[in-house]
Amino acid sequence: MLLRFTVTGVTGTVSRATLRLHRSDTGSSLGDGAVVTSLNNNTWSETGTTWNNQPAVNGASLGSLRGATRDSWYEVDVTSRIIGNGTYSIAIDTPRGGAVLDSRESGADTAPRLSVATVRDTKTPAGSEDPVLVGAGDIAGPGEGKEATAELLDKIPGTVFTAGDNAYQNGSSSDFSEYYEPSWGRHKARTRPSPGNHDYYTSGARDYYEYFGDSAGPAGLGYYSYDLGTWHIVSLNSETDMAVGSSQEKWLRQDLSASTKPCTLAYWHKPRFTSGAHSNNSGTGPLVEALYEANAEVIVTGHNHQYERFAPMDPDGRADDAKGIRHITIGNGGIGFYEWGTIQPNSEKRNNDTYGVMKFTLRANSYDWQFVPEAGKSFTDEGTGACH
Amino acid sequence: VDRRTRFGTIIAVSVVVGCLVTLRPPTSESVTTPVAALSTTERIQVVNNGMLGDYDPSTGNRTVTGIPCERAHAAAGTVACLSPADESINSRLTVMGPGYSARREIPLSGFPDAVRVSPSGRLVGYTVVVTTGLKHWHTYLPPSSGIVDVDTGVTLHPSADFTLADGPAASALFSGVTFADDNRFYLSMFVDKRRYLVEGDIRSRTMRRIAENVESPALSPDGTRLALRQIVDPSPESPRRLAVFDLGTRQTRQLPESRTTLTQPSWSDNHTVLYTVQRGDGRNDVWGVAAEGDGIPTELISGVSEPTVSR
Repeated sequence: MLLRFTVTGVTGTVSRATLRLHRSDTGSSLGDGAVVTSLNNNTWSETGTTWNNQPAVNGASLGSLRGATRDSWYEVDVTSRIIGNGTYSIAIDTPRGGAVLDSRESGADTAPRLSVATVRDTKTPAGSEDPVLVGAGDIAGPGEGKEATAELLDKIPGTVFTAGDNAYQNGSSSDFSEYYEPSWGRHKARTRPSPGNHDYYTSGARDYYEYFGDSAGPAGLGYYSYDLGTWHIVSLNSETDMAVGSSQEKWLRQDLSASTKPCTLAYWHKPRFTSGAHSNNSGTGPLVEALYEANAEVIVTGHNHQYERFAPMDPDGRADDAKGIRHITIGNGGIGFYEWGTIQPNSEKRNNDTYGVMKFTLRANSYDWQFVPEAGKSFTDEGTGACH
Repeated sequence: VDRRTRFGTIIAVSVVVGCLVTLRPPTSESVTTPVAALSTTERIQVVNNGMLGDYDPSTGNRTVTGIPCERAHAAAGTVACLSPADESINSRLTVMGPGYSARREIPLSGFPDAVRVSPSGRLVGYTVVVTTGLKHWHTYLPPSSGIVDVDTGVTLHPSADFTLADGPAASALFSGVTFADDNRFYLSMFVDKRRYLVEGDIRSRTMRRIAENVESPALSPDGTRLALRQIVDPSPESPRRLAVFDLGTRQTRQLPESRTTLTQPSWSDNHTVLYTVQRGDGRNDVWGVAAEGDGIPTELISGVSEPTVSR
């Protein structure tokens, strides 16, 4: 099924966009197979599209449909796709058949709906409608740090990312309910996470996927992508196979080549380059290589409980002003701090005594980065980079 | 980079290690609040951002070798170095002679924690840990220590080759060796969630507890005191306070330094304790403070760690 919505009248920042689909009172169970995908093609027409000339379903995955009974509504969070005024196409694929979904022809009461909620950000200057991506890694455990960073999110609109190790010690459902949910959990509806090794201390990171649901991409894979304005955002999984030829690496290359956005940011857990005690992780190298070849701008990681920003580098860690990717580790999300080891070449800024979040303002052809410190601390780091 | 190749390239760097040092008298008696100073004009071996190097107190000049070291020590011409852990958390103990000529290379599993050479240069005590540097969130994982006879290559492990004279301590963990001579040594023991200072005797293969809640000992040049880190409360996240333990009176006195210190302290002379403090951005500085506890901490060498004053 193909859907197209034209969004008008939005003046603030989109805080949440929800796609509602009504399951009609006929047909069998839908199961877990229905996939909601963003469609980059907006030129198809309602009457002219046939099976044979259907547009390619090539956009970012937005989620899947599960669990609704007959004559009831499915809800899918499409905040990552609906960034403001514009025309948006969405494809619903039900590869295993199943439930009948009502469309426009079913009548206004049960037709698909797109609800867009906005917040007016009075603090940012006019013209700052650029999307914001904000987050950190290594977040929620018994200590106080998680609340210090959650309170920063309370004041920063936009999409929230996590760079893994969301809930300590084991990423169990009780770790999520006890530590993550009362802090960062209040921003769950706008959060697009990535998993870390501590999340995988629970077999297959089962409770991580259960907790975040569709926001974490297809369950069990831990990699997915979405768009924010002119930016393509990729969330990857450093806890599973990343080798050349692995499912993840092949998916990444396809995803990047399908993207039409001029700028790209990727995030995952384990840093390729770090001056921390956990040393460089060369296992992530094939992901870095694919992103470099696709002219990506920024890679954000966690794992080492500290903040570190590098100058743009090539996949071997050499300074590369023309095409290099800026690597940033933001492991100051709340769980604690690590000591430093050997300071690596091209490391430009470091801190291991301040909790904080990393805020990216994603402009049309550039980005601003800003380390936002916890209340009462003064360390910060900000700057601007251009898209390649 | 193949480390053997890299190691081979630095042998041309010639720095004499372990020569005799003229000790200056300690701070003047008229000074009531002693400011620590480096009491030597000889080159001091240091670690400079992951590389072995040295510092000339007379000129302030520094040299850096290409030898990867996170922890290092030297005595009587023997240089010992623990390399930074690779991404599989493997380190390596390298023992060198004059001109950094390699004498022993021992692969180790864990993060480098501490290394010390005995005064004769014959024994090297090392410690690696499976995880380290966790300042707040700390799951205690085991250290592993050994004492290497540089001449024979034989390694003794306190956990396996020694018995505790004052009661069994199955599954005890040991760290932070410091030597009095080629027989007597001190180290930390962690057992039943308690931390002890232990004295060991190599000839009899015995050890005994001599204090509790202190760790990372470093013996003074005159052999009478241990500079160490006192554990303020029993939690793994407890801050460590720099202190001096008197082997005669068995008393521990905290030094006026409230910051967390990196690794084992060392001694500049019998009156000055040296230690490393890491800045928030990862740069390390060597500080000194009077061992009598009546001085103020003084930054002595910026940008380096692991000072070894030759004697």
